[in-house]
Amino acid sequence: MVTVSLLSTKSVSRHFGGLIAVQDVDFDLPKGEIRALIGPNGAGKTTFVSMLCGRIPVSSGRITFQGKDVTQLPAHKRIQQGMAYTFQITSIFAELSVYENVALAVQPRLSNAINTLAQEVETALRRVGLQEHSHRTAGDMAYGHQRLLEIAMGLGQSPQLLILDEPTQGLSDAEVDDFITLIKEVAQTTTVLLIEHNINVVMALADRITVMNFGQIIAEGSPDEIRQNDAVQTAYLGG
Amino acid sequence: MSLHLALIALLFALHFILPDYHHGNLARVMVLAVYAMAYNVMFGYTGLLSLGHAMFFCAGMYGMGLSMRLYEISAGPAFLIGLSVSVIFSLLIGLLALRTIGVAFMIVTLMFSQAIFLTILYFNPITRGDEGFVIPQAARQIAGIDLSDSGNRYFAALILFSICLLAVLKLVRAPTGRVLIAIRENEERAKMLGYDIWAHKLGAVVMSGTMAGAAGAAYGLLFGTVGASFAEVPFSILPLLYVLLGGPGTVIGPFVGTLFMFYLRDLSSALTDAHMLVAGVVLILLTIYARRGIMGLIREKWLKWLP
Amino acid sequence: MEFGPHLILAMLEGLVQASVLTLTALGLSLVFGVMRVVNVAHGEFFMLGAVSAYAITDWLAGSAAVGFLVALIIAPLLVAVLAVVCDRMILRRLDYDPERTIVATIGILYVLQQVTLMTYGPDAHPVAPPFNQRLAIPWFEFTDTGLEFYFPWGLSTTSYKLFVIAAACVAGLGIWVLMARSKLGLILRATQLDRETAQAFGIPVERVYAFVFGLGAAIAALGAVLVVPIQQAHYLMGSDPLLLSFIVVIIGGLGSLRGTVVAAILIGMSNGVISVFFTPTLAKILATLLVAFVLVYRPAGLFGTKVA
Repeated sequence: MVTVSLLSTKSVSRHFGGLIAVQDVDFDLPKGEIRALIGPNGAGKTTFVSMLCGRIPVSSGRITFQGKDVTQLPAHKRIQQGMAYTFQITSIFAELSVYENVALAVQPRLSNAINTLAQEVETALRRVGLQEHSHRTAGDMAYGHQRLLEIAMGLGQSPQLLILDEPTQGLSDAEVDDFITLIKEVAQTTTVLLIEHNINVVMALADRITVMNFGQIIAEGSPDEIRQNDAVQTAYLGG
Repeated sequence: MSLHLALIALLFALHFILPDYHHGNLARVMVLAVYAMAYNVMFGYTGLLSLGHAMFFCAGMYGMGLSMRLYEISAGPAFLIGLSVSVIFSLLIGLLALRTIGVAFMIVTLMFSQAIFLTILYFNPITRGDEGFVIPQAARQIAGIDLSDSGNRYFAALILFSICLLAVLKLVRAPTGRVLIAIRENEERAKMLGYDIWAHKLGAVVMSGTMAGAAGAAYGLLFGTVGASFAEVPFSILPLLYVLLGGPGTVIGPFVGTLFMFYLRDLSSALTDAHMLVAGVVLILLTIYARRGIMGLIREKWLKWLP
Repeated sequence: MEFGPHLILAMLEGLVQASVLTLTALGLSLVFGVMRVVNVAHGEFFMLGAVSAYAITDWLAGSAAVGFLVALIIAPLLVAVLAVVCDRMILRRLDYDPERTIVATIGILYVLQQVTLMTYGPDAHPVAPPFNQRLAIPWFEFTDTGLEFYFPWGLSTTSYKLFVIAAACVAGLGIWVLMARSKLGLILRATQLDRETAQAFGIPVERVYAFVFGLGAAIAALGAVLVVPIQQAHYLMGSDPLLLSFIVVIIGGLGSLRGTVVAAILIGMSNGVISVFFTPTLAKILATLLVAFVLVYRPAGLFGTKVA
């Protein structure tokens, strides 16, 4: 089996003044994988992922996406290249309808698509189970549904890479189960990178796990390998 | 769409019914409404609050007026010159001002507008400064149609108004319009959906500035005056007031707001010289109690489909 | 007049302007620093200080010195009360949202300005200074016998203008003492740094805001009372001070009082000098463009740390 690298970084670092948030990270994400990025609070996960999607610039290093160097590329261009990103704190268009929210996500690639806007929006909503809520104002929905809306927006972009930042935070147990099923289905067509604190979700979904602490990768491997890894135990219990 | 066409038809019909005083007023209101609609594109739809829109109005007004006065260019080409000046000017301002956001953006636009006003005063020999100058009746003709005639003037204003109204409607319904609204609602989110925020904002500024310039050039041509008072701060505040009152983010709102305020000031000027007093009070009340404006409130309560 | 004396004259005028500007700008800076809002009506509080001084001295009609002294104390207080009313009735209702506050204060600007117009009319009203001796200033030149001093005709100032400079310094010092050395100042600085934490520590933030808004207006009004014997009271006199205060606060750095003072002196002086040697209009054009370009390219100003 040939693994194609979708996203990789080489010696990526980020510092804020004297504080080093991310240090010299080499990362590789093959196409078709579900990768979980875990680590204690303050480990640098969100900073690292923000650099991946272009929200913040790197201090040094190189990021490669689909074989192209995207280090200097602004965020919106990376999204156009096929990345999708959901925010840690739900960020949707609260005053607009659910339909409008997804329409905005779907719109840019529509000129090449066969279906109409309405059809694409319907499809995305159906995948997360929100098709009944299409005309509701997004901000009026329960938090769990808003989270799902954000995922629907990510799916609506038909991305190569879907980056999810703590997607299950604030969801009920039932909603978390639904989420796991959804991502397993999504992963058949999309590479997924998720930052997660919920270990059950991580173990249920991840093909491989990357563990970060103090701005560096301290371990990487299959769920079983990570479960048995001493350094990881120390990081979580000691840190 | 039909609602807006109905409005245009109504305005068309009013030409035949209205007495002279109101007829002239309505022509003025229509041109000012174009100015307000221009402001709405930036503020109501994209969320960029400028405090210096008078400079765009004047770019068109003086571009047109000075070409006629200094180079004796005829009305039609002069209007086009005014328009071209507006496009270039708004592009320039956009490139500079869009490097700032929020409160800084408001202050920067205010400052540039003040600088333009002061520059008009400074070059008094050319611009006639505060006094301004009059465009003689004989010059205000396009293709043989005398624009100083009240009937022709009304129709010219109506044509300009209709074009701009339909243009804004088209913009708002198009994907680009959706993106502007998205930028207003949640800029970071819009960026992370792949939209080039800066390019869209610049587009909004240029469209807004050009439309305001068109209003300025038209005003000068139709009513014969060019003056620095149109570059002063109160004239930048007026479109904000019209849009807030009429309903930011609605297509008809600016017209409603302009009409309302125009007559409110007209009535109050019978009582007192201090006509900006009314503007001040209305601004305070609007910003505390009625941020959606008249049409915004109507849209929220009854006509959810209103663009 | 030769260049040397002319420059000295311009600088003296500039110093007077800078003194008043320092006070006005400090008021604006204080309000922005603590409350994080831009008060566009600030110039009108300044104007009301001058108009109140006129009204008070006119009403007292006795000796100019006594009238002026009463005005110096009462006018800032009156303006402060008005400002607090504005804060309570309007700004608080907007929850101090930056954009809404700007729009609302624009409304307040017009209400204050136009009511003044309706009450006192469009003419300028003079206020007599409490004392006004002309003081000739010596200048020097090199002659055959060495360095000689003489008194160029036209190079003079007045005792009142020197008083204005002195009074502004005293007031400035007073504000510094208040902010840096008093418990009240500590409360203000704490609220400025972190509103939520200050509230958690039991600081009544809403009352602090009302106080600061009133204090900011009062300081500007004080500046106006000082300058009105030189300048006359007029309902439109607020717009230039507003513009200049804006310039000072932005260039000095929003939120930095020290930056405000330095910038006020620099800008007041250069504005005064350029106005004398060129035209006031040109000075204003340069000043407005300066603010715009500072905001565009160096938003932190000279000393400030916050981006607007």
